[in-house]
Amino acid sequence: MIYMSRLSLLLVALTLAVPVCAQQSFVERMNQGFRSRSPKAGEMLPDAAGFRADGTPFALKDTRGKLTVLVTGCLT
Amino acid sequence: MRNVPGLEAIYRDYKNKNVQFLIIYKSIVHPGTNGVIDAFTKEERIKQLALAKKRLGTTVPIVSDSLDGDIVKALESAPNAEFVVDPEGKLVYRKFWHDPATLRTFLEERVGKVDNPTKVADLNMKLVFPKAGAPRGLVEPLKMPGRMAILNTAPELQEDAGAKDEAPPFFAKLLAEADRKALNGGEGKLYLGFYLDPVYQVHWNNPAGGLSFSINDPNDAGFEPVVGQTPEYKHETDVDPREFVINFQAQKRGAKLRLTVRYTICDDNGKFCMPVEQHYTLEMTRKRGGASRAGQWMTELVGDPMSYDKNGDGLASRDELPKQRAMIMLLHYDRNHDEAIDKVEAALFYDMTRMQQAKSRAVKKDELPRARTGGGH
Repeated sequence: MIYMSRLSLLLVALTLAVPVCAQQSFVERMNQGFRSRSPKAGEMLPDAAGFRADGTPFALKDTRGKLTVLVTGCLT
Repeated sequence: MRNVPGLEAIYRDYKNKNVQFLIIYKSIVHPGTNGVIDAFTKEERIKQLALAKKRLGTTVPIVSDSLDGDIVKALESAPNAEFVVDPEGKLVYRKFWHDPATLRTFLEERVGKVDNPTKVADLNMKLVFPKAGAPRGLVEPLKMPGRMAILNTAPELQEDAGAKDEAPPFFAKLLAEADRKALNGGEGKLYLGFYLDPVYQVHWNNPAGGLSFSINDPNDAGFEPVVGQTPEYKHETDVDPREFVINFQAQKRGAKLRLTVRYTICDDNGKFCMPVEQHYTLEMTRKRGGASRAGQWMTELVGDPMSYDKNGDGLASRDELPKQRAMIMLLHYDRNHDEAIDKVEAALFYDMTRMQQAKSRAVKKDELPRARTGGGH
């Protein structure tokens, strides 16, 4: 009986845990990919180009000279 | 970016402490969110930047990634990541999802605490949406038939086509998605959405005829042309997307097809109306970095928004939505900006997802819009 109730408790715990795990795995998967591929603290920021709001060229290396906060987003 | 107010508060506290801030506007992960879809040209992206700055009410400088996403690719960035770089160009902090609280803590340790830090509540930032020249929400969004992937599409721009006369811009922009079967060259579902680009301030001219499209195979590999046409709308105009879900067989994996679309729009300022015919290359391959049409992923996060309609008035209002999720839900799906989600707006949430799969009613063949195979024009 004790064995059965422990098994039942385990099953209930697993059932409750599945949706939480599913959500965590999505976020965690994205986080893991970022951690493994994105430049790490201590590494030089790679250079790449875009443009400014007035259309003039912008490059990541242009930010040198000051402590710089960069945030990416699609602003929708 | 729902956390812009948090970034704005930090920016105001540290911009005069020898720290520079830049938001990098990148390709849109969920096209269609608030009617915004990826720009086709640099000029359009610049206009989007201006609109975003106005809508978000931020004073943080915004720069744009290249249209090919070179910066995001170089950083291997997540959709809303943050980085801090020292004056020599060395990375000193990174986080895969921008979090104002941890960023502030980092800057406090690195630069020092500020007296009386700016609070988000003090900023009183409100989203400002440009007034549309025509009503929204008159054409019900399609229910997606299942999990889809964004396809690689390329507009045939004027410089590509070598046209001598000035061609009209892509007032309506294509978002194409396919299910796994269609991507693999088998018979599956294809979603086509044509979204009016807010930067052009135009609306559909419904009495002049709806939107029609045709898909052909320029390589003549035996692909049967597919054509589609919107129904006749009783209302004269609106700015809602024109959407189709069709049964589709690409014949082979990675097929490159040609899509032609015809529609008529009018300028919001009453200066012109014009019929437009435009072309795209439609490649049956998955676009890197693309997710799904706005709405699909949200269901996984929050479930059915109408379940929050506690007083049964057909509206899930801000007060009824869960506090922590109200902002993001309204930001993405409150199409008419009345601070509530109604059934039409909520329809976007009913797409097939892990949580809604059992309840979702797939689009059946006889419910598909007037799309048919054969013929072409």
